[in-house]
Amino acid sequence: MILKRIWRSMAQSSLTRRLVVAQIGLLVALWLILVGYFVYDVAFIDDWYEPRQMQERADMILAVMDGLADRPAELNNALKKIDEFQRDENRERDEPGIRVTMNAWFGKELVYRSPGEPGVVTTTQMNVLETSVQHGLRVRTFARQSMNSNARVVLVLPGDAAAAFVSLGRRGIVLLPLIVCMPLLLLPAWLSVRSALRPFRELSSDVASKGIQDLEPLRFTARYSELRPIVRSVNGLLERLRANISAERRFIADAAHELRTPLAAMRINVEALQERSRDERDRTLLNSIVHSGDRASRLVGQLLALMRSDADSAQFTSEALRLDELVQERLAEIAEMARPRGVELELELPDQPVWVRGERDALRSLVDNIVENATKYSPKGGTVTTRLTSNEGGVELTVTDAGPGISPQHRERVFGRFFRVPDQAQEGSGLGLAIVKRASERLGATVWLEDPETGRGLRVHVRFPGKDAKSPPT
Amino acid sequence: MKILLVEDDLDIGNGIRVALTDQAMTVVWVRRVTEAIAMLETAAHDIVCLDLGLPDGDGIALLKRLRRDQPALPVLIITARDSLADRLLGLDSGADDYLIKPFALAELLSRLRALARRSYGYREEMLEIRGLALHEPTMRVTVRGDPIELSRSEYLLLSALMKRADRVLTRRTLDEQVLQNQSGESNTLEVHISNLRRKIGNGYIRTVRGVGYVIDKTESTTRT
Repeated sequence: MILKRIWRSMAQSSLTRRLVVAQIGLLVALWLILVGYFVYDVAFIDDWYEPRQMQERADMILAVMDGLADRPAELNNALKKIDEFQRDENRERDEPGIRVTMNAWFGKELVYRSPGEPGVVTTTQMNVLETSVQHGLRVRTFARQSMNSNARVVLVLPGDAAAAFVSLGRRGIVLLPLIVCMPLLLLPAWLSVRSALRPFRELSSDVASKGIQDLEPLRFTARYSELRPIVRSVNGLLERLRANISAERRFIADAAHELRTPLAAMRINVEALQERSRDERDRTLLNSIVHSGDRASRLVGQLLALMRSDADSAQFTSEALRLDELVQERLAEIAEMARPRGVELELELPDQPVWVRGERDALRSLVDNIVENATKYSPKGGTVTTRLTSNEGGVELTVTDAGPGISPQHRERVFGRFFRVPDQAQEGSGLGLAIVKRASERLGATVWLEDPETGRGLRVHVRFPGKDAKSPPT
Repeated sequence: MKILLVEDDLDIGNGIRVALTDQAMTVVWVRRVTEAIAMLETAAHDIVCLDLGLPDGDGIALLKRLRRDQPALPVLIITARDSLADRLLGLDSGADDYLIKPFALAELLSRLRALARRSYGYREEMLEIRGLALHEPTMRVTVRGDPIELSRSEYLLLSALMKRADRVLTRRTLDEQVLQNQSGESNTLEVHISNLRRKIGNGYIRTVRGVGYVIDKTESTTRT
């Protein structure tokens, strides 16, 4: 399972993977160059010391041969020992591609030859390293004649790159270090890349933490020249977006504001006319005009509230507020609207004062819209119960009505702008809960809908941030 | 009642003028700050209705000047500016009340009457709601002509509720502003209200549970 996950995360293309792969690739390339050089060195390079070294070695062998010339058995034994030493020199195992072998002669009599390839070789010159092909194998030979006898020794050095490479390969020198090192190198490589890429992740989390409403420039300060263009262009985009949105909001707010004057004019004139009219039918018609005007006014008010709540947060000041007093005041106002509808308001407050931190306007429009909504959808003679509680768990406000409620599939969407639950008789703009949502976001509160215990109607639940609310928050 | 209306919008100004004239008020309507200043210097008014956005100046400046020259003259701001900051600015600059456009004619009339009552000359007015009458100068309260005895607290509560009839007064307002009770013992309010109800009879003071109390001008359809 874990392996699968690791594999999946590795299979995903990422900068980290790219960089780790690049690092490892570089390592492999370096290693291969090193191996190549080694092979080249073994096969072709005649180091300055090599002829001398060969000469000394040959002299030693010749001295042994001279000394033991009359005892062939012991000579053979000694040469065999020297040969074995040469083959296994530097603790390297006997490998045809890299070993040093030899032929020992007395005149034309071969007294010793190393077993295996390349066997007996022919030489043309004395005391020099010469390269030749013997038995299909490229070798370098060094021949030397004894000063005191007819003893002659030929040292055979490897000179075939392919054979040397094969030998190294067989010995595991080419790939084994890589195979052994790779897992051990991957983790440090990954860790180093990860830590080097941390600014990237910080930037991305900064961008990711932005909400739709948060168009402030990124908090991330780019100390790295690679990130600066990204930060700059993101900030530029945010800036243009902010300008555009605020222009649009200003337009809507201005339009809404301008609509108020003609609406006010219409209303006052119609009402003046209504006062004068003695004809009952005229009065009914005028009543409808007043009512329509009211609806338009309400919509304009809501639009203004919404645009205002969307405005730059810099304009707003957060203060410590007595939520219990505010709710009581708002309910006193709304009670006047509720009475003609035959809806009764009820408020349950805790004995202790309830403090929250926030903007008064946002809090006002939150309470107003929830309670007005509940009042609007309540049946005649129904009761809207507002309850404010404050305990260790936080401050909560619930508003319960006995209206038709909202079915669960609509509960998310009713917070959207201009969304109205289908098939309902009640008039409305579909902005009330959108305003509630925005206001709660401004206040850092969460709002959701639930079924009351009675199973009928709707309860709007608001939870405010903060814990102990009995004294003014700082 | 003589009212100076400062409103630049023709439709609103004319509507208010007609509506208030129909209510037997005298309305002088001007549309500019300069005209308003001239009018205030030449004639006496009972109330000024002031729009804030005027073509030749801001209503707030006029209001401040008015406060300096005629501190006792009640001023009602009528404006489309509804933000809390605007409202506070208006009230802090010396307005007595603040009405946001669009408003109901009834609302305008009730605010004007309330302001008139507060100012000199209309103090004699008798408050009367559905047979319950309160005469302010003598602090006399009658129910359908029968005088009743009220304690000072009961009188203050009744007077506050009747002056702002049809508007719910919160428990806090009644407790702190009317009874001047700072102790926070809220049940004294309930005791006074219950005593008051016993004396004037049920059906006048309606409870909005948890919120406050109201006296409705018309008979309540829901239970009290």
